[in-house]
Amino acid sequence: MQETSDFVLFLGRFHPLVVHLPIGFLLFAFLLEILARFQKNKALTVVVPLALLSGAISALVACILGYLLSQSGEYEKSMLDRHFWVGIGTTVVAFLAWAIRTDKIKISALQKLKPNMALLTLLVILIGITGHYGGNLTHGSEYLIKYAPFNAKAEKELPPLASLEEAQIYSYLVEPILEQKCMGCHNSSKQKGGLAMHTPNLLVKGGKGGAIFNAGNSAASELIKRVTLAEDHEDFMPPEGKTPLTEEEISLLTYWIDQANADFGITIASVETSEEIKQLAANSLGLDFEGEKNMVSTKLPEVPPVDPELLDELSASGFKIRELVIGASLFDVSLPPNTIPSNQNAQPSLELLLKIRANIIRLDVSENHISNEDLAIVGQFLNLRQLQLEKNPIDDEGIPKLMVLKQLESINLYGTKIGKASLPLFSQLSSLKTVYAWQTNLEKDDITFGNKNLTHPKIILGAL
Amino acid sequence: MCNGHDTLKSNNKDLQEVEKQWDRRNFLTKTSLGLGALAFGSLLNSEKAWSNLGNPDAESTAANSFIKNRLGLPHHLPKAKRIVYLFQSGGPSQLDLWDYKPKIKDMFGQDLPESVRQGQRLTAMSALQENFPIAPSIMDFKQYGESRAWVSELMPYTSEIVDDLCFIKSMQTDQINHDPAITFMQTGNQLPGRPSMGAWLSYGLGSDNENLPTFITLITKNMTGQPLYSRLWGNGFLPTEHQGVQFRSGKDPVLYLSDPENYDGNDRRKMLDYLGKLNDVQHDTYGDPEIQARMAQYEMAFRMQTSVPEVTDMSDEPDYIFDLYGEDSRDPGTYAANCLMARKLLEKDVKFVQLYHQGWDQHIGCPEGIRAQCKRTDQANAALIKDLKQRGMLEDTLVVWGGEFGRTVYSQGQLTQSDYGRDHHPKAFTMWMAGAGVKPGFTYGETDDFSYNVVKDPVHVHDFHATLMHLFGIDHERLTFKHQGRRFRLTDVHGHVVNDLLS
Repeated sequence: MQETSDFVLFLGRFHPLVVHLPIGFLLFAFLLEILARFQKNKALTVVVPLALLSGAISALVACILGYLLSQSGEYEKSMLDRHFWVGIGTTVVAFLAWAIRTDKIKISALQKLKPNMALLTLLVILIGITGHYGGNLTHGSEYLIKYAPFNAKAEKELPPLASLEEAQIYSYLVEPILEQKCMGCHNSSKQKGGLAMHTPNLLVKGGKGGAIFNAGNSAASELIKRVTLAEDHEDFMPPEGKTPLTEEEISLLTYWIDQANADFGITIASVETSEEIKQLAANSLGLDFEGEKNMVSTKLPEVPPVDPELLDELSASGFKIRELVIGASLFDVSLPPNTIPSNQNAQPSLELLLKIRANIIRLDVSENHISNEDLAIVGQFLNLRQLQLEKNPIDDEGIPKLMVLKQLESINLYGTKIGKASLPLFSQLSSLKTVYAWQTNLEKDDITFGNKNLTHPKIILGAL
Repeated sequence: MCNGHDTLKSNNKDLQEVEKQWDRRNFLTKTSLGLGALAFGSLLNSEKAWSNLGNPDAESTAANSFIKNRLGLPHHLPKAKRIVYLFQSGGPSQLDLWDYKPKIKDMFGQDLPESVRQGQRLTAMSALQENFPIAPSIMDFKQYGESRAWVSELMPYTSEIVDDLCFIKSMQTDQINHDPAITFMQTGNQLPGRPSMGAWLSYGLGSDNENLPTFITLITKNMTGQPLYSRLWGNGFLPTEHQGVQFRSGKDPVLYLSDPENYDGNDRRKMLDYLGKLNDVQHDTYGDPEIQARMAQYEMAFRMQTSVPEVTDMSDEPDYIFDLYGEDSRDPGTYAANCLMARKLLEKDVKFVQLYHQGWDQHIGCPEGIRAQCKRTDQANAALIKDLKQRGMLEDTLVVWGGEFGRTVYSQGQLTQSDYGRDHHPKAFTMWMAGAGVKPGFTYGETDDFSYNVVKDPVHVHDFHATLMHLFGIDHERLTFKHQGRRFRLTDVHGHVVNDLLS
């Protein structure tokens, strides 16, 4: 294939933008014509020639740009031809319609057929056909009706699985990923980079650059390389603007290439599969999997996004806010010691935070004169996993207010006045793993002596 | 004062060419086409248009406002918020400290079997030896804690805290000599010039305390041994403000913080503002990111005038804390005092505190030398862990102990019943980690009966780096910096996260 200059492609890519102009203009001309007929309003028809001419000219421009775009060679030939000719037809008819409307051409034999209206109707039909072919080229021919109610999805439906083990790795795990993330541009009608993925044969064949995977060696597989590059790298796939593959999806692809040797029929049971992969597979197939339990607990809560201005506001009132996972709107919030002076009530400050209470999973308000009463507010941060309350004037009376924090894993109470009375409460919090209780009223005897029920959490006292 | 210089331009013809390209800002202000101009401007010089990706701190003006991480970090939920790295420079002998090898007790003085060494390259110091007599450790080993970890008699304090430690007995490095090995351990490459771990973390995650450097280095005073160059905590090609700031070992960790005689310091703010304006003009003209780095450092120094005396003041530490760290901790600049200082810095949310302790290079007189080294460090190591733990800080602070490589099982020089020397050994050594996100009371990896080759679960330095980044929520493959035409990362093209170490 001959190399096409970048500039041609650069212009060509404006085709999808420009094509919408003739669509708008010509449909508008049709609309005006109809309205004029029904309302007998002559004034409306005055604009029709202008709309037709604009439509025809912009259609011509779209044709030229479309031709440039087609030079990339990324489109299927027969489908491209259809779009090409119908598009040109539309343009010619548009010019014709304009010419007739403005009486530049008079075909007396046709006068009785109301050529204007007929041509406009024809135009609308042609636009529809051209547009449909164009859409098929860009999105693939299955795109439009994929979710249509009448479209029986049976052809792609995989038989339900009795167990995870009998799932065919390719059809159940890999193909859905490719279908969702790659086949938009690598399919029967559109083969970017000469690559199509919709059949195993074509997938094996690869693209312009040759095979895209190296069975048994994911590290040497273009497929894996491309999706794991830096996101701003020009070779990164999927290209900018499309959703990248998740880590889980990449693990599954890697697993298929490495463990399953990129075989198309092999099942999970017949290859070596780590617990982790089984868990991922189960998640993607919606099956239950009794794996290591920690996979579930590390799942992050899904929370609404937060207005950045609100965060700035909170920062301005002294809170330090760090996003814990980019884009997840989950925050680590801390208040530097003594931001709240001893003679001041901490409530107004804490209440500010309530606006983002679901988003905070780590909170540090140590050494800030937080009282037992203030803990009622802290108790509203239901997603908290780590809570630092050290060096605050709180005691056993405040702890019950925290009993609603079901996600809490660690709580720092060192330098507070908590004592024995809180111990049974701590053990009721099932996710709580560690309580830091140095320099409190708790002593070594309290946690080792006569507290057989106290298997969790761990209570950490001082070193001496 | 400097407003007249707004249009400062170079007389140099080449620079004028560059200026023309750089003038995206002027281009935008002078065109009223808006969107079109924007598109065209970035077409003209796309490198520049996206370059703020590589300079996350460049425009962080408001110190107190929420700033979204421009590098898209963290990639996943971080376990660690801070780290203290206790670097034992010289290469501590794993054979005399952690890696108990009872089977070679009977092989005293026998030549190391060739099947073990397998022709491995040795250093010039022992390569010419006629034989390689096996030198079993004369130290007494016992198992401690619920985790039943083996520790030698040299580390009595550390043996109390083994249930908090995660031992990696299968560390491996590529380098057999000190400088390349320590450079490799600290920067991921044997050659000088790459950014250190702390610089990467500072670059990637930014600061948690605007008033102190993100990355601080402390070196034990009065020690001799292998040299420590500032490139070990350097920024490499990353913006300069990410390099580690070395605190002096002694009473005044940072010099000239107090105002000189007869100067009240009242107009310093004004002076810095003027200086900042001048530097702004300079930066607008030349676009050199180092100008911004310098401005950031001036401002940091200004803030450190108040923050450093506060954090380095030991007078508010109670006696029992000094007792915990040992008598040395009252003497500024010792390892113990540095450990205590490290805790205070971590409490102030300094992200990376790097300690260096020289003198672990026991080519001769190993038993005596290592005994003295342990005396200087053991109690403070254990105290730091205990102190962090009781404050709840071990929850999100990572502690790392280790050197640049291990030592050989065979004796370098004369072997006697009570004395031996040990040469450098890159193929197997022990490190430990504790705290944020690593399994407590856990031992990973195994060496053969000679502590010479790793027989199970090797952990390469690159893997260690990858794991460390992982604990901070960073995918080591995705934190990159483009320099001289290619993207660099701490682990370069290597490294796998050791998932088994993660809690």
